[in-house]
Amino acid sequence: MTYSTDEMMTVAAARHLANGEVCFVGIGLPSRAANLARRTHAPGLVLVYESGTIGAKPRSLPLSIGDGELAETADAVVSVPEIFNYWLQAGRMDVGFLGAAQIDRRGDINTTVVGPYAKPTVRLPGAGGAPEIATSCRRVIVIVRQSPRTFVDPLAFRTSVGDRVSTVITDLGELRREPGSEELVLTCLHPGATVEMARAATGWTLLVADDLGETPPPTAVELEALRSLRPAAMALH
Amino acid sequence: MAVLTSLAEAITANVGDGDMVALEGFTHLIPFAAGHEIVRQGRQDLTLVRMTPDVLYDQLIGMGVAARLVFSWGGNPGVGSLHRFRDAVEHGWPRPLQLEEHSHAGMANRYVAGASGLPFAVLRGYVGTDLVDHTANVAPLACPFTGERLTAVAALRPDVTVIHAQQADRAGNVQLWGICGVQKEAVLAARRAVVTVEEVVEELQPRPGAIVLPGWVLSAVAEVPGGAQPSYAQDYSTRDNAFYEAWDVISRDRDTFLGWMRTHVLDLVPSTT
Amino acid sequence: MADKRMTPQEVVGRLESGMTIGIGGWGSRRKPMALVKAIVQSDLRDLTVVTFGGPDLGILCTAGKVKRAVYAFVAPDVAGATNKNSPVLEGHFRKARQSGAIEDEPYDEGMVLLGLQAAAWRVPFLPTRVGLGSDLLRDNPRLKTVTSPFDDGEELIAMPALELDAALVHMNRADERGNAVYLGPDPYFDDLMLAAAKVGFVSTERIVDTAELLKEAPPQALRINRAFVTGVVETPGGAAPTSCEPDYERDEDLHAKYMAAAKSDEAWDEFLAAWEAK
Repeated sequence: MTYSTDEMMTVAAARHLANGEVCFVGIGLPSRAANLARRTHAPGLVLVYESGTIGAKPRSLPLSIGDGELAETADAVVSVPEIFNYWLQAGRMDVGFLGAAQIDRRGDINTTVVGPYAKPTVRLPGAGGAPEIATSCRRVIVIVRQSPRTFVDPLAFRTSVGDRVSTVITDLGELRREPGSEELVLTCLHPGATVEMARAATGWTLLVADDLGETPPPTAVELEALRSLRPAAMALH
Repeated sequence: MAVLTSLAEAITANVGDGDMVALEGFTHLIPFAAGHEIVRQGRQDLTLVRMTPDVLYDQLIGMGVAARLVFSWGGNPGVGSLHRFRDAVEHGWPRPLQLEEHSHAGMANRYVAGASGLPFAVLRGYVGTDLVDHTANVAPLACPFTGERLTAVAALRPDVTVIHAQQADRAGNVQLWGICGVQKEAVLAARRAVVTVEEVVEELQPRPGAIVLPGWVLSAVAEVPGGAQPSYAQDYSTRDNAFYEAWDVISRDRDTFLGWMRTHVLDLVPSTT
Repeated sequence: MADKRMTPQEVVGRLESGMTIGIGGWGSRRKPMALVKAIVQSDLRDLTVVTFGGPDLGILCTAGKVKRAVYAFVAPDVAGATNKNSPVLEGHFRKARQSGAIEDEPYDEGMVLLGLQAAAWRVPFLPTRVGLGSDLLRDNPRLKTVTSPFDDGEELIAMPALELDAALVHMNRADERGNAVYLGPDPYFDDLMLAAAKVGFVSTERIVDTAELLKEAPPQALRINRAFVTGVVETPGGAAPTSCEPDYERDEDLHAKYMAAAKSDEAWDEFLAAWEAK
């Protein structure tokens, strides 16, 4: 089966979520990958959205974090102060799953502005739940398309601190941070991608692991599950 | 004590020029009809407050009613940018928009402090981010027990909070359910509160996870069926995702935007039920 | 789905001497007394007990299980307020407190609520005006003040987080996964106790299917979420001698024996025998 680089990225991200884990999910690419994981190897994955829906089991991919589908299929729906104070800050989340507009070599994330803060060239949506997701979940996975515009150093604005970012999944491969090390290292390439492509898409001198791996391509089961997620919403992400 | 009134009268009586106004809602139950009435009544120089300013705030900002925005995430969820918001911030059109931005947890706790009648709330957050450099309403605070560095966020006290709910009874007690966001805290933090509801019923029936706001914490209640569209009211309507996608096109161009607002907001007479 | 059913002895097996244990209920209402009984019969000691206190704390004091009491109040509750012939002082707690057998950490109800909330939110304290101007600041050395870092500069009480090693609560109905409802007039602070604890145990009058949980109760009575529950124990009558409305009222006969038991070792043995027989 043929597949796109975006599909490879989503499948690779989904594989990082284990069955039974509790995952605080950002909207967009993270939500798509988390829902794919729940439909394939991790049916017991608990999806938590910042709208206060805990254990959501959407039958189709939600467009927003507050779609009725999430509330109607959730184990519990709690208020926004409760989701942030009792559930996220309290450390009840195994994994945080975030997107990013820009990321740097330490995993710090910018979702606020490109250009100077007072006179931005691009005004981005802002922090949302990301700063606390990034610092309260036991580990953080970031999914972002890799390009010189997204992989930058220094960031224009540090919106979220990347200390707990363990893995970054891109359309070219995966970067990881070993415990104790500060910088993300390219550890895996998707089929068809090369170290040169990854270096060209990175705004700093990219570290590459000695034992660089290759991501297994998506299986037929994974692709079928991914494509069965509502196409209309997928096209927008 | 809440009075049952028309939407127009509720806005006239409770929203003034220069006010700090929170039209809250977390994707669900966004008070679009009330926001449109604020535009029709020509309010100016508002400080708009909202955790998640989306299409309604894009409309208000594009119509120039806001001087300032206090928020934590401004976008069209799942679709992309808010073009009117970006135009105001990046190009000052139709007027410059001053920003004060926070994280969701920070905003939620600012409302909690306001609702609790306390000057500030305490959380773990903001540390290491650049957010702290751009507002005076976030300050480091040493824990008097452990000495660890926490973050204090100043209480948020809007002049008026506006929300949409499913039901009210004739005494003005309001019940909302489904995704409840931060509406309870936003109402209790505000000096005045206006609620639009899908329907006025004889008796409020208990619902799983529902929030009941007694009439005596509200200023005005107006029956506005469909008042959250294109957002939604669980068990009454579904989110019009196609409109949110269409808004991306409508809002890109200033004239297209103004034309849409004229036809769909300015030229409409509000419901007077 | 996980079956979390266990016995009172298995619950006690998860506890250790020296732990801080929160006990749900209120005064002499819906206390997890079957679990308290299992503690009395165990080797556990030196416990710090956090409670809106009634016979739970009194019994643990007299049984020599308590090192420190952290409480909003400790009272015989119902009768004292309505019947002038009923005692208004909790004899067991009074004896332990006045003899210096236990360490003492007094708060009021609002402060205990905030302390549990702080623990549940994983912050070391929460600011409050509750208690300002009272002598609690003088006599509870754990309390401190905090000054607002903003222009108002207001000085508030800093209520420390009451972090619990374990919480024990009693609910009218539960499922085997740990979801639970109350059927009486008040939820008390049981959900907050569980959220403030590392592990939580729910004893219940009856374990029912999940679908049955809301048969007898309105939706808002589903206060206990399985995410906060490690073990579920079916203990019919397990709140006695405290009440568990509407399943039963306070066992006045047993409660009177409990109250009298503060007076002598013989009376204490008599109460234990009567309680054991329940």
